[in-house]
Amino acid sequence: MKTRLRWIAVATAIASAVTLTGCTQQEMLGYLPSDAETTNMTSRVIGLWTTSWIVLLIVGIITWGLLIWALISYRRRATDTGLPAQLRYNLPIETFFTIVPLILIIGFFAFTARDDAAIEAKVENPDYVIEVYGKRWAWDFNYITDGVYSPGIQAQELDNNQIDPESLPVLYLPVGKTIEFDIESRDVNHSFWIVEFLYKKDNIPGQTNHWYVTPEKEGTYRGRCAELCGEYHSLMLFTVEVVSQQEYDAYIQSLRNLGQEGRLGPELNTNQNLPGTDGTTEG
Amino acid sequence: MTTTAPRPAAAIPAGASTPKAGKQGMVFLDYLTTTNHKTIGYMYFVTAFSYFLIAGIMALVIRAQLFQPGLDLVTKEQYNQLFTMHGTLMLLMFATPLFAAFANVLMPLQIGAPDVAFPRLNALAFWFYFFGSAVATAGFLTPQGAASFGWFAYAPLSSATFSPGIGSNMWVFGLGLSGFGTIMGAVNFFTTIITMRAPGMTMWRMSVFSWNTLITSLVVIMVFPVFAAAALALGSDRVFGSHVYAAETGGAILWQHLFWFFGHPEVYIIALPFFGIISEILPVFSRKPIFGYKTLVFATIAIAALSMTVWAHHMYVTGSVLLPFFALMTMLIAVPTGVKIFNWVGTMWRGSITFETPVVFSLGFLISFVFGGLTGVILASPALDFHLSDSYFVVAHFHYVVFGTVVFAMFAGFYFWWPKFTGRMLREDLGHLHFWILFIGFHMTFLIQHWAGVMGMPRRYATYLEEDGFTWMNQLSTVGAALLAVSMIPFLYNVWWTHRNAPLVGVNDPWGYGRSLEWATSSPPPRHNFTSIPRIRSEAPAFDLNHPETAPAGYNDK
Amino acid sequence: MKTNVFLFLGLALFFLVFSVIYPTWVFISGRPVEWVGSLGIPLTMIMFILLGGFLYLSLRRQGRGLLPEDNDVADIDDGDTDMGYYLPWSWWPFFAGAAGGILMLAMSVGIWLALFSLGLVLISFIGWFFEPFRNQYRR
Repeated sequence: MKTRLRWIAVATAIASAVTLTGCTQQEMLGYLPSDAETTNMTSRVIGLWTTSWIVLLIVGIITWGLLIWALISYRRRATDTGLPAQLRYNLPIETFFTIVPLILIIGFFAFTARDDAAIEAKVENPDYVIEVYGKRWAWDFNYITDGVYSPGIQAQELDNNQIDPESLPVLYLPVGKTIEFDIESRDVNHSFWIVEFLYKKDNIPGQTNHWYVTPEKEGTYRGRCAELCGEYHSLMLFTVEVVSQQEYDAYIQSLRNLGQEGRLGPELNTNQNLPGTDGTTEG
Repeated sequence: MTTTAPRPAAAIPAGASTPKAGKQGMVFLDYLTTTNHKTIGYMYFVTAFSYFLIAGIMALVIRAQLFQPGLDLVTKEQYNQLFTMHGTLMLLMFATPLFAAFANVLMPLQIGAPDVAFPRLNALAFWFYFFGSAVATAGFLTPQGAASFGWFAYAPLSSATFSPGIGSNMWVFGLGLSGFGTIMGAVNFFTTIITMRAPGMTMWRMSVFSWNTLITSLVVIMVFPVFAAAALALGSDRVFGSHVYAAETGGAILWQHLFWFFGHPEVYIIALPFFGIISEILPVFSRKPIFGYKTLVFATIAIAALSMTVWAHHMYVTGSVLLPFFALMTMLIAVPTGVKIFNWVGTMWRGSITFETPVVFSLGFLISFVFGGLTGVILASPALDFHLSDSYFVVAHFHYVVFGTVVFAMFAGFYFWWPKFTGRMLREDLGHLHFWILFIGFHMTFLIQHWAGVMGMPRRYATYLEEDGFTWMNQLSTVGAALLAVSMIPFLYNVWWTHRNAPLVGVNDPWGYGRSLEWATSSPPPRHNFTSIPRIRSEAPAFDLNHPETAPAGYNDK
Repeated sequence: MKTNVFLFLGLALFFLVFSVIYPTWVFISGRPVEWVGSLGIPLTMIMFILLGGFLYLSLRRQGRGLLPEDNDVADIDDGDTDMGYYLPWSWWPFFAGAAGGILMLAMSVGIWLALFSLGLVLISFIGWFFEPFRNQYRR
């Protein structure tokens, strides 16, 4: 008895040591390209992601395990003849593997519903409102609160066909302030994805979508279009710089100095029938 | 017995439709004019498999383009055409017609019917598929190329303003026609099941594959009309200048709702028949009945019904859908799907399993599909989907579920039923080689794509940045794709070799433990399927005939 | 037959429940009416009421008889020897399919072709329906 307990303890200890020390920083985040401090929402997403994966992998390992056990244990040996017991059903077991996943699902739904509501919740009186226009194939950023704009062009390819990261339009955001993004499209569907913020929202022509977020860590982040919009969809990239308030104000001033005051509004849309345009025939 | 319309003169060779079918030239005409469900099924198989190979080549070009950032193997516009047509061909011209193929050949045999309820309509369904798909694919032959707006054809990208060109028109109208064919096929299938079952073949004694055919056909008639209507409206916008999907009146979201109302059940149309195939194969090679037959059928019905209420999980990031409803329904679908998986494991449990090629492919399906299902539950959560939508994580997920289901189960079905269709068994050694190369190639291609997606690689991108760090992942994936392609070679060689050299099996049931009714007739079956049908007292009539010791009580009663 | 009736009417019931739940939930959330789901699900329900209702009426008309395929203890000879009328082969599906293909090509390429193809479609339509009464099938 004691020997058996000792073996179990040793096995458990080894297993825990291997699994726990084996987790790199990247693995702890579940390979998400972000961390809990990037925005006010990322910790929520990371927590849900890692917990879900742990539960799902346990379910998966049990399922694969049962399958592999069946294959090994119940294979027909060379000496076997005849038929095994012709079992057709077993109601208790079938009920079990219906009810248990149902309970897991309801649990998962409860957590996700809470997180979805929090992520999508409207923020009254955000510190800054930035209007993001998606167009084929770049981004126009209108800093509404500051009254300036920054037009974008698509990523430029260098001679060797590689994308030049310096050519991407840059979106500046002040750290620690609530931002409301008003997400619009000039023509077709695009999608405004800031990879490290673990969130995207589509730019749908004919409606304005909103995204409320507070970036909490300074850094340079990647943005890309995540809805097929035509030939140069792959080049519709942008960079996000989350900077201190002073740097942000300095940037806004630099836009003013360039004369970029105002707003690149719907009058520039390719589709001239959208709300806010003058209704002349489509460009 | 059947009565066929009176024929003039000459004796007809067995299995043929026309009097002169022995002659070479008339074989071609035989195919053109056939109303034999088996022949129509074989035509579906050949056409669908050809589209599979063509779309596979497109995939190889796509993967080659992604091998390194900045490659210029194809222009960006051509690249868009490639993935659009890859998706279209694979889903609508390979997987859906493959359901029609298997259902056509097997379902009447399994229920003891001499043919389907509407044989000419059956042939029409095939020709609509054939010509509709040809029109859609012929877009490549037009000057502006094929459709390039993604297989979901989101408005307004798919409008005439943003995607001018005849190729895109042909896509829309060709698929409309092909969709009509699918609807006709489905009507035929469920009418046959309701009205033409053999005596004693009650609904609860039908094979699981036939049940799945019934349920899949119901899903087809629920959603293909919606797709046909939406596509024809898109066609009308493009050609006649209507404003159905005009962005200014919410057309973009309208198209998405209509498309996904079709598009989500479509993937269940693709999956369910192949679940049925697995449910046929595992009991035969475990030498025991399918575990939990009734719960399996109920689970299938639940999946079909629930699939109609989940469509907007493809639209979480549009900001226009009721997130909690769709999240809940999507997660709920995982429950009956899990029930099916556990029932399959239960079939093998305490069985006596041998590992012929059909079983090995079925196991490949089970392993891959479980993982695809897990990633599906992750994607069901909007909070997680906000990051993952339109990334390679989704691409990896759907390839795991769709390829895992359709392709693995297709090959399992081929190896299993080849002797029934052709009278000859495919070689086991080549079959195993085929399986292992396919399995390794498949996982090498798609497993790493989960990481690429999580780390920020969007789908439908023709290039990416070296700084992103995806390069090695894409290279691994491309090598895997090449391996996957190579796996087709042993299969095609096997088919050719078997045709030339394999002996006729000569028996009804070459595997020895066949359960359903098709194993109680010759291989291949006669023109109207049966010369005599054994007594039906359970869901395994052929098995009861050959193994009376396990037949139900009352089998031998007068 | 009874199982089929339960299947269709059961699905109709499922869609009835969701025809109520979905639009109500959308309404409670404050979103505008979502027309596709709010109409699509009730229409699906109606389709299953149609199918299930028809089978139910057929079942009722059957009275106390049980069709051989629904009879647990039926033998194969209990089935009707005459299963109906089959045309062993036919040109019309191919022609109708090709006509449909040309029509769709026509819609894509130019309406002038559509007028011609409509003629082909009409011919295949008529030929299809009159096939069992012509030539060797003439009675």
